[in-house]
Amino acid sequence: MTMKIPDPSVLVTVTVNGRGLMLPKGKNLLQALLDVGHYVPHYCYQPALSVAGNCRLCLVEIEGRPKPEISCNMVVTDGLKIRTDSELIDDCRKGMMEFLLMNHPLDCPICDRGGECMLQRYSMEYGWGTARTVDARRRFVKPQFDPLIDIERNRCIMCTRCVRFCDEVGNDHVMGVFGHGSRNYIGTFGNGPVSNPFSGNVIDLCPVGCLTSKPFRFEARPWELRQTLTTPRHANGIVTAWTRGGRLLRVTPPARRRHGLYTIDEDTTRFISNEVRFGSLYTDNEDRLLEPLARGKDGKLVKSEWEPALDRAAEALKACKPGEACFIAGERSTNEEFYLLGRLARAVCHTPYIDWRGRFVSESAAQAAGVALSASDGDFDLLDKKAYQAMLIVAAGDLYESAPDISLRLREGARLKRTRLGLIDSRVNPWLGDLAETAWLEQPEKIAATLIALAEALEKGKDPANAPQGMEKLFKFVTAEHGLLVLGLDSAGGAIAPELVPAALRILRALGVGWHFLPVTAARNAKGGFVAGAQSDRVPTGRMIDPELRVKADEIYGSAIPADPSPAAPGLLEMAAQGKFKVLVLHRCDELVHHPRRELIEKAIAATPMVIAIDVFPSWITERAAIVFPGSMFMECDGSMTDIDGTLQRMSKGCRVPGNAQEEWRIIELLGLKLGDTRRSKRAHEIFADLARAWGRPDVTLDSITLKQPGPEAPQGTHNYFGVIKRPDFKLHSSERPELAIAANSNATSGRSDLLTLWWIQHSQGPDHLGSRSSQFDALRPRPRVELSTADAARLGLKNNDWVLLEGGSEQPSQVLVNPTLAEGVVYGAANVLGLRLADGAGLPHVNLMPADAPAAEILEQEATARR
Amino acid sequence: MAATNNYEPILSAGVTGTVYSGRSESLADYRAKGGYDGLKRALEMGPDKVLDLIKEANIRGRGGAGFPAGVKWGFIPRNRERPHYVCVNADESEPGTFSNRSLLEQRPHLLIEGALIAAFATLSESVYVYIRKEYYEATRQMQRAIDDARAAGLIGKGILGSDFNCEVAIHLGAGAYICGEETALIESIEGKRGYPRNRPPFPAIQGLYMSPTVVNNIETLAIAAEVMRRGVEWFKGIGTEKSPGMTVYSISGHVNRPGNYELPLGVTMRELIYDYAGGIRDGNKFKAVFPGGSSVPMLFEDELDVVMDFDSPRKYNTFLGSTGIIVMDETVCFVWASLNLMHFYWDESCGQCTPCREGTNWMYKILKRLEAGQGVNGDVELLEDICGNITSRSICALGEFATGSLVRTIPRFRAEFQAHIDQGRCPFEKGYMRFG
Amino acid sequence: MLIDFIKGLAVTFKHIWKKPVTFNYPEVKRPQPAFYRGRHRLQRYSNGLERCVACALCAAVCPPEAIYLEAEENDPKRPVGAGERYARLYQIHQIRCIWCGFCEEACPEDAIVMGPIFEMANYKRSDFVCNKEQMLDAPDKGFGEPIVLKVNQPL
Repeated sequence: MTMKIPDPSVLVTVTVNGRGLMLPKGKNLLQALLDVGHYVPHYCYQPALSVAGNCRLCLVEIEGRPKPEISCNMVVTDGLKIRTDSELIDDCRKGMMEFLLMNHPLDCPICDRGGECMLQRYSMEYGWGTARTVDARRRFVKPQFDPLIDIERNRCIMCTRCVRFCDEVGNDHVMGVFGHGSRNYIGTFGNGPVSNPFSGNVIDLCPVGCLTSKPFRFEARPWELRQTLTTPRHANGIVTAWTRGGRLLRVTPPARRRHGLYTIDEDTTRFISNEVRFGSLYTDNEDRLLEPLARGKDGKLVKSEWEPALDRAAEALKACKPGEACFIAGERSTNEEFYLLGRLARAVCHTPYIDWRGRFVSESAAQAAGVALSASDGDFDLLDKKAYQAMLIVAAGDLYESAPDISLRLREGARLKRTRLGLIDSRVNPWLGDLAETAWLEQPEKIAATLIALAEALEKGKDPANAPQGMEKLFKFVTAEHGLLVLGLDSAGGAIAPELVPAALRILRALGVGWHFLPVTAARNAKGGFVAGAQSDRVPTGRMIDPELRVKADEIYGSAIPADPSPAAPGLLEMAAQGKFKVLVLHRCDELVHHPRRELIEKAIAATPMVIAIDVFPSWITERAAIVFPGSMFMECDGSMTDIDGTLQRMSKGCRVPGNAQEEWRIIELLGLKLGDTRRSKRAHEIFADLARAWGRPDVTLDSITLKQPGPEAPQGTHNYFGVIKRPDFKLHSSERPELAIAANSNATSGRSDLLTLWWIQHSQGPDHLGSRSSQFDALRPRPRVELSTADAARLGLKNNDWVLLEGGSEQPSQVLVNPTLAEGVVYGAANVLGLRLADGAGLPHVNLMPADAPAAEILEQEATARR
Repeated sequence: MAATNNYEPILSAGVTGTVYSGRSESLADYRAKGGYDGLKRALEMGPDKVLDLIKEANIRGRGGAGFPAGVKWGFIPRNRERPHYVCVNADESEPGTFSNRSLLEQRPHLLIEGALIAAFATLSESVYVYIRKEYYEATRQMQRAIDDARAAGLIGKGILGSDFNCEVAIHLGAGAYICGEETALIESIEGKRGYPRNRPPFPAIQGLYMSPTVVNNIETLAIAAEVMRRGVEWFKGIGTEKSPGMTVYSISGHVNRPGNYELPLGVTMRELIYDYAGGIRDGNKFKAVFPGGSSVPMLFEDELDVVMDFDSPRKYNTFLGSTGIIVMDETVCFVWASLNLMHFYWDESCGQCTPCREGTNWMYKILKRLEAGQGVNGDVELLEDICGNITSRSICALGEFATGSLVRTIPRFRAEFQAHIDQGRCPFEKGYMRFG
Repeated sequence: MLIDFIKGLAVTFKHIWKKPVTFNYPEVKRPQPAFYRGRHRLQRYSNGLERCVACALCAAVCPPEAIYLEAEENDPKRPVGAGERYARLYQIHQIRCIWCGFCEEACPEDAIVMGPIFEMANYKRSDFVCNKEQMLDAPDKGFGEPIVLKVNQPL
């Protein structure tokens, strides 16, 4: 059944306490009142979750009805007359607060939520002030089921926000209500952990102290914390960083202001992944580089002062002829760093060789990614603000593992705005698949062909009769008038991107003007590297090939720039491996540390006489560098990031850089000064001003970047049945199950050798240069495992939890997971978890699976304990 | 007793006066009595006319609320955009009600016929019979009846040669009282926790699997089958003007002849207790009676002449409910009785919404204390206040049910409650009624 | 003028024969009233466990921000305090402190009280930072019902 979505622009008059208010028709009454600043207390209502109506605190009196009604289950209708301040409502709230507090333990001094607890707040605002109960309070035994979430059931008020979150957003029905009556309690099925990658949000959603964060447990009281709105370096998302005495203690979605103080926003619709929440807590890691390092005469890296280290680096760069220095910017650099590196390379060192696309395994993949990014250039705010009829996600289902935050925004956008969702992929994740209207499973090499077949049909017209054989459903889906085409760029390191991107651009033309295009990648600041000119064929003003733009870029850079063509980062690394460069500057190249083409990078470093690295943690790359400059964390530097949909995100400085380390933009600038550049900035703001000038928006300043990036708006109406839990028709219908789609095009599997196509990603919770430094990351770390389709598993005689070895892939055995929604002939795994090594980046790798022995029991047990 | 003296039981033919006869009516027996003629007639009339007929007959729901079945069926959209469902509520878990059980066990075909008529009238093709798990024998008989009916072509495709297809399936409850509430019953059939839903939307629009759904008590459906067979005029001739028809009263408690009594609506409570149930046991004095299961407020001595139809008890703020009549004589301590009931509601509250979950728990604790003689001054007033805080603020009616008996008992028997506090013990002698 | 002079002398002589109100301070110490706000004390339960649960309300209410504390989870096997949490570090800066007694008022556990000690001279500024060990009562000076720490076990 299609839900009728009311038009929010129609305002109707609602009389609230005798005063007329204009509220959008059809909107949830409680949300509409909150939006206009008329506060109604509520616990169970959360804008992103379905309506439960169980706290009974948002009761309002409605004229003409005998009983008070809960406002969260009502919609705004014309002429509605309600009262929220009558004696009856006061009495209701007092009564409810008394009921809720009756069995609530009096341990506020110990509770971690004390100070930002909604129960404390409401009992002050709406409660009795005295207790009338003399009976003993209910007590539960305290269980421990999650390594990161602490549960204290005595404090629970049964709002079921956590249960609904896991059902509807996390899509793994892992939390539930157990027991009944006044003895019911929340827990997880089987007392296992809350397994989804967004589980940390239940901590914020919990209005009381029932679910609290284990890493933050007893670290500080909320009022002692200082909040900084910022964005982390290693993953997408606007967050509030909570620090005490310069130490980062927790990361949450942006806080909200209430009664003059910032507190956790329980009613946020912008959730963050565990990767951001717990993986960001790496700032007080003791491994950190705090002093510049330089290689001494004996070949050992020793601590150095800034001046000599900078001098040595400058000397080496000065000695380079044009084109003998190479700059590789890490994908996690800020826009300012990208811009400064571009300037340093092109205007100061006169070398065209600078690029950010180290993540991609081959030159053609990186170039294809550049093409895709420029195809979507200038189309902003595609994700959260626009509403589409349909969203077609191509080869991007794996973002759930590689970039969960982007994936969450895609899914939440579709879920809350009731967008139809279609998937074309080699692996359908149930997380997206359960919401999808249609899912087309295809082997990686054939995805491009599928798109072209669709495009060819579309070019003939949107008449359903034009649908290719067997693709009627998909064809019907793409005939939607306006929609969003989401294209994943970096699955398998972009190995299929060279064919996929042209195919996607072709279908985009065929889809018509109503469709927007959004290439997505797990590279954190990919768009930033693109727009700030750290790409081999881009300057901050635009495409380098455009003479007019180049003149403008010369002016911004302050010097003429070399016009020679330059390959992308994989090509640069290959050139370096052939010994073409004298100096190689690696700026925060986090993605190279766990790159599957480690051999190439090793060769490139070995073949270059002088390697300069800017980094915050030691790695095998810094160990081989000649000079290492210590950089800063995301909490310690100013700057901006560019979101995947083009929105600028502010990274703001919350505490000073420790030790002798410096903010990166300053390091690059100091290096430039040594080389004869004259510009010196006091703050990152001045660098940003240059960028803004290059973009033709001199009015934008770093401070004017809004930090209030809103989440997807709460849907209209009382979306009781909106969540998956109460909306079975939102799931895949059996006739549309991907299994059946496989059957339809399984003739492709005949005549195939025993080799399986390796379809891999970089897992965001696998070994990661930054995230792994967070001590909480261990608990999140996924097991080494490979996924096989049902047919392949049957053919190879493998079943779930068997141990196999990827021949030519890694030395460590991994476990098999049979995935019915994986294309045949494909083996799927996470490169950094498996420790994958690729000899070359040409095309998709093919591997053989060898049965292997299980690792020793002690090792497994150790791992399990670490996770617990 | 005059008007009802010569009433022949229709629904529970051969059942009256006994709790359980152990004999189930076979398909052949039922058809010999004209069984499934009503269905045949309905199939000839077409769904719209059947609906009109049921509306005209004004069959009021026997589940407790007394909502006219025809109106309820009329809420179902008259298109087949989504499948429609009929749920038969045989989750008879109201304390003091046991009439459905004998109907289920002895006349399963009557229910099947009624359910099929309901399905036909509401354009539905599936019927779920939700039976509580404890009714083992009833489930067995029902299943056998369904199998027989299917073999005879009364269930399945092309019923009785028409183009009407309908499937009937039994769904067993898991022992929760709350699953007798229609939306909780729907959730339970969907395989979820039996939590009542917020309304709107009503089940007639979005019920089982988001589809239009009718939930009816089995007695209502049985009556619908009889009405289809015997006609509206016959039905309207029985009972009172506003509450036509008959119902099965289950009388239990301190009476001489407890049991099921099928009678026309319109008999008074006094007649029920003294004429049919044989008066109070041991010649004791009457104290109070629950007219419709434990969920409704009690009637007292001076109110016994109330006519037991759907509307008359309302003047005493009580309801006919599920017609489970529990009679209490003078030996009953109201604190103990309330405690017993509150234990039930505390135990059976689903725990979804705050007032019912915490309120029943609190009242149970207070009553337990009162009964044990540990009450303190102010407890009775506190109880009244808690009742006020629960009533009409919970999701479903269980909140009202739990407070129903107390809101009428406390004002009337305040002295008895206060005596527990003043004397520091229960003033009643009742060695056999210890309660933990 | 002479009368005034005599008047003055009269006062003098009246006081010559009175008991002196001053004390011979270092040798004789003046008794403190019960409400005296001297140096803080941290109290214990009668079974020796610390009352403080490190809720930091004292630090929050302290007008000159003289209190600093860091909390830690209590080990149920070797409990320090009576709650799930105790103060690993509890410092009061005696020079900053304005002896207002708000901390005493704010404490929900009756852990911090102001004691009778007023002699707090030191030679170094850093010595004025008073540590938990200096303020804690002796283990046998506890009061109140002995709290048995609830050991939380998984289900």
